[in-house]
Amino acid sequence: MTDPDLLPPNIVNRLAGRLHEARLGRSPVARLTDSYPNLTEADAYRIADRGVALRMAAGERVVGAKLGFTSEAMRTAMGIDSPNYGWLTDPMIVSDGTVSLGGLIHPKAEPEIGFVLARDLAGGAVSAAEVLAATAFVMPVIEVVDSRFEDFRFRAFDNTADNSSAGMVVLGRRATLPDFDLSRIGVVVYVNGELLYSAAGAAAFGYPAASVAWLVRRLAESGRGLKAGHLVISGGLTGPIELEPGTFVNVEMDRIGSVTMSVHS
Amino acid sequence: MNQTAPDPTLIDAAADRLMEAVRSRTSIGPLTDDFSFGIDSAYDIQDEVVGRMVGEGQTVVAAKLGLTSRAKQQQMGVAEPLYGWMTDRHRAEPGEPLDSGQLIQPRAEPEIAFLISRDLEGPIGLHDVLGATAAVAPALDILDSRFAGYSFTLADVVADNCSAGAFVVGNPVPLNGIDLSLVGCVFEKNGEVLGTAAGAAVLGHPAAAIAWFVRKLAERGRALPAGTLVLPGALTEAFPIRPGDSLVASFDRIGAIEIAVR
Repeated sequence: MTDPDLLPPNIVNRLAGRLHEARLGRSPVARLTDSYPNLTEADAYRIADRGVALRMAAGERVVGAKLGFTSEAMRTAMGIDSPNYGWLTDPMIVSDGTVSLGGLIHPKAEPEIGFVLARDLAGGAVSAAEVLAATAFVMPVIEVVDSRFEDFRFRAFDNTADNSSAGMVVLGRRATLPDFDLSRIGVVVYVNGELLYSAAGAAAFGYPAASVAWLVRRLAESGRGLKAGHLVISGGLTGPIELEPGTFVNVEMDRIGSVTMSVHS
Repeated sequence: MNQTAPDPTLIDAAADRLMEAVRSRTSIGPLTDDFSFGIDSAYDIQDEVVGRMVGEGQTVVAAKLGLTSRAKQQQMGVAEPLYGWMTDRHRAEPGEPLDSGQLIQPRAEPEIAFLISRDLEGPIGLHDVLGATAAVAPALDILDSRFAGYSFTLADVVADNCSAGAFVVGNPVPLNGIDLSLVGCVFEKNGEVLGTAAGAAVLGHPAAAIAWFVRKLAERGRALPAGTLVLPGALTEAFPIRPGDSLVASFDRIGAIEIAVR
């Protein structure tokens, strides 16, 4: 049985393929909602899931998830009332602090708090406290987002279909038990030695663990969950950091350490 | 640089306008629309305004800095902060409602206040400030520009005592090695997060802003007296407030300050 309000599977496959090729060819495409103005959130997640399946068919492994639109200001600007999510796969993870622009289209970066889970986490009523209880450690990360859409312009569901602009995740050097209030930790972003932004953890959905809890509850709607060992990055804490070859980003997070990124061509 | 002698007519006339705006709770147009003066004269006007407050029986208890963020400096096209003075009349008590009826167009911003325990003077740096800091405390600075719509030049806002309106300071805590540049701040109004920041938003480190202030005072042959409370600059942007609002600024490691507006 097919839902008449949903896109037919062949269209979902075609749009996922288009975004997959755009990424591999570093060649951005027009917004999906330009051709399919009635594209629903459910369609967008089907396209994203299909895109992840294409990556897995190429040998990639899902290692975690990311949140998007976790700031109220961003949701208001996009005309939506909840965040979105995408999946992280192993080639996206950077552990040596260097990012090459070569594989990306028009990347931007933002600092986030990453949660690594000690155990599987699923359920439609999971709270932030349960997320913290299931967390092995938190670490500072820099997310490099990269939209597959022309000019980095999209509507909310385009972004969801595009795996929430997932690009790369640069890991911090320290892992910390989150036994303090993450919403109040200070975050300072230095670019080439100059202070660019500061923020506190509350910039992510009011409370970073709350955005992870939202994700778990949202996944439960389709009978899914997060796995032990998954890295969940809980949402951007500042405005975007523009990247070009030679850019050096240093993010200091109180209590949980720092993360640096050097950008190469 | 050629320092022109202060023009007493200008200083009196400008101070008259500012004092009348405060008294009548009515905003005015920029002074620079009608008078021509630079930053030095603007501080002369400020001294006159503060001197008149003291003449009315008020006591100077605090200093405040403005334009301590790069973003605000760029917005105003300037390369350094500015300062002003606050008296016991400006101080609101924590736990008591802030009477916005006394103000013209109040805006609130969160700050990390410093209690300075030694006289500070001359070419000092950040570490001298930290060495002279008895404690820090969560604070809210309530701006109240006398200029309609906060539309002013740098000289105007200096003359207007750095938009000083009111301030409220919470419980002081000893520094104990806290890195203030990394202290996170969450500013909420009526339960909604207005903004977040870390201490570094204030000129890289709030104590660096105070060191600038002390060096700047030396240019006018002045020192920062022991016992002064210093509000070194806002962590987030300033947000308009109105009766019924409830404001909370929470600082990691330092504590929170809360105020109800009536």
